[in-house]
Amino acid sequence: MASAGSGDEKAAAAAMITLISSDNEKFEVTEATATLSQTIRHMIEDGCTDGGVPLPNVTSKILARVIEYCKKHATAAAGEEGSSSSFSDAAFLEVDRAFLEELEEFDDAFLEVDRATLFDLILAANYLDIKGLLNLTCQKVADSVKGKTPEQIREMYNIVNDLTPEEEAEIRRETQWAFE
Amino acid sequence: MARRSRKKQRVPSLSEDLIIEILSRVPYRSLCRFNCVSRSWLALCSDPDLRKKSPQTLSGFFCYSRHEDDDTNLHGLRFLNLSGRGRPLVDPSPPFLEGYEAPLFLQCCSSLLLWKVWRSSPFDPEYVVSNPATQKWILLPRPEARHPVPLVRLGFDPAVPSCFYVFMFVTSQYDGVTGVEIYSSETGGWIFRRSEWEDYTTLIHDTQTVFFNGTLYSTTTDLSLVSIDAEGTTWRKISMPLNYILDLNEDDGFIMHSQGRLYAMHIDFHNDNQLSVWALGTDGNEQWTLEHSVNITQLLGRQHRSRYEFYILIATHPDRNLIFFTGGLHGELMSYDMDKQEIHAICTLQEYFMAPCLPYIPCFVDWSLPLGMVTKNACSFMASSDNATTCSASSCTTSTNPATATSPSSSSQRRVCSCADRVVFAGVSYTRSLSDQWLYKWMGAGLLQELTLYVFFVI
Repeated sequence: MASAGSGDEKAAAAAMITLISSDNEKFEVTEATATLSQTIRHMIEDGCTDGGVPLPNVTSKILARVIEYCKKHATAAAGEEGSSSSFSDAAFLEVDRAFLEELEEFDDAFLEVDRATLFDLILAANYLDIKGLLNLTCQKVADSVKGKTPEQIREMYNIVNDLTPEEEAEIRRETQWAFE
Repeated sequence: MARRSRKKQRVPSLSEDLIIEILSRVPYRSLCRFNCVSRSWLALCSDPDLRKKSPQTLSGFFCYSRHEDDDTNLHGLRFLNLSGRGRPLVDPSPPFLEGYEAPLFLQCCSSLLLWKVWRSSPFDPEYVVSNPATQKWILLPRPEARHPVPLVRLGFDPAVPSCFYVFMFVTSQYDGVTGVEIYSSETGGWIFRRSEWEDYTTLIHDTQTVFFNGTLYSTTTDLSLVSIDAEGTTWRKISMPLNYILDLNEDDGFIMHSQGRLYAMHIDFHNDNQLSVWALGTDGNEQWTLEHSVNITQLLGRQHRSRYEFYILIATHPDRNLIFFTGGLHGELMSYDMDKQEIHAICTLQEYFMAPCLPYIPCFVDWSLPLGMVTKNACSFMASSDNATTCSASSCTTSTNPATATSPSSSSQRRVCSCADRVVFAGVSYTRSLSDQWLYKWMGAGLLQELTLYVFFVI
C-alpha cells in the first residue's frame, strides 16, 4: 500500500501499522487511525513499531471495537481538515453539522454494550491513552450511576457493604439532604 | 449461584484513578449518597480532590444565630445545610487578619463571602473576599479615590469561576448613585465609571443583588431593576413588574437568578400570601412575564391568612424550579416546587433569624496561586486539556516548569506576558499583576508545588 520513495506527508498518512492483541490477533490500521492513541503515537515517534505493536492488555474483541472507534474519529478529523478549502463557509458548516450528528449517532450506538465490555473499553482507552474514548465511556458509566441509591450501586457492582449499621446511619445523617 | 460468581468475574475491575475519572462526572448530590456504599467508596467519594471536580449546586444558606451570648462565633453567622440537618458543610468563621479588627460580614454571592475590615479607624474600612469552601481569602487593595460610606457588592458567577468582581457604588449626599468603582480579580485593580442611571437612582442597602452573565442586578428604592456589567459600560434601568400591587415597601423587590434567567418575586401579604413569579425576557427583550402565581396559605390547606402568618422569600434553586422562603405559622424554612405545586417544610428556624438567609453554592476552584506569582495576563491551567483548544489562533509557549515560569528574573517570560493583551481560558485559572503583590495575602503555603502547567499566549 505505502508508496515507497515519495516520502512526503501522503505516504506517512497511508503508512500502515500492525497492532497485535493479547490473543495474538493482528490488525492492520492506518497511521492516522493508530495515532488517536497517544501511547501508539509515542511509539511511532520513537520508531519502535516495526514488526507490529504488541498490546498485551487488550483482547482482540476489545481491540476491534477500539479500532472501529478510532477509524470513525480519524476520518472525522481528516474530513474537517480536508474539506475546509473545498466548500464555501455556509456549505462547509452544513456538512460539518451533518457530520457531527452522524458522529454522535455513531458514539451512541458504539456505547450500546454490556457493562463488562464498557469497562474493558475504559481500561483499553486508558492504556492506549485515547482521550475521546475515555471521556465517552466514563461519561456513560457516570450517567448510569448518577441518581442511584447506595443499595442500587451495591447491587450493580456486587459491592459488599463493610460499614457497620451505626457508621452508615451516621453518614446518612450527615448527608441527609442528598437523599431527599 | 454459579452464574452469579461468573458474572462477578467477568466485569473487570477498574483502578482507583479510573473510578475517580468516572465519579468526577457524577453530580455532587450523588457523590454524597455514594458515601455509604462501602468503606472504600466512602474514602473515594469524600476525597476533596474529587469534590473539586464534581458539578456543584445549592448546598445551604448562611443565616444569623439568635443567641447573642453565643461567643463561639462572635459575628453570629451560621451555615444551615439544605436539608436543615447535620453538621454544617462549610465553616462560616470570618477570615483572621493579623492587625485588623474582627471582620464584619456584608454579603454572600453564590460561593464567595464579602467582609468589611478595619485596621484602626471605623471610618476607613477595607474589604476582604473569602471562599468558605477552600478557606482562602483575599484582602482587596483600596481604590485610588476615597468614597464616604459606599455601598459595596460582590459579583461572582460559579459558571465562570475564574474571576470575581467587587462593585463599590459611590453615592451623593442624597444617596443617589453617581458612579462605581469596579474591582476585577483578573486585573487586580479598580476602575471608576460615572453612573449612567438616571439621577437619584438609589440602591436598597440590604437588598440581595444578583450576578450572572457578567452583569450585576439590583433593585432600587423606586422599585426599579438596575443593572451594570463588570466593565462598567452598560448601565440599564427598567421598572419592576410589581407596580400594580398596593402598599409596596421598598424592599419588596426580590430578584433571583435560576437556570440562566432573572426572576422577580413577591409574596402579597395583603392577599392571603399570593406568590407571584415573573421572568425577565432574554436577548434584549426586557419585558417581565408572569410565569407563576399561587396562594401559599391555600396551598397549605387554609382559607385565609392567620394574623401572624407571613413569608420572606430567600432564594431560588439555581438548577431547578424551586423557591425557598422562611416564615409561616411555625417559623420554618420551606421550599416550594413550582412544577408540582407542593410546599415542603425543611426545618424550623428557632435558633436562627428568618432573614437574611443567603443561598450558597460551593466552589472549589483553587485560587491558591499566590497573587503576584503569575505575571499579568498569563494564565495557569490546572485541569483538562480541553482548555488548550480555546487557545486557537494564538501563539502558545508552554512551560512545564513552574519555577522558571514564575520567576520574576525570567525576563523573556515576562516579555511574552507583557505583550499579551488578552487571555482566553475556559477552565480554572487565576491571574495577578506583579505590582499588586504587596497588597495581597493568601492563606496556605507551598503554592509553587501546586502549579502544574503554565500556558502563556498572545492574541
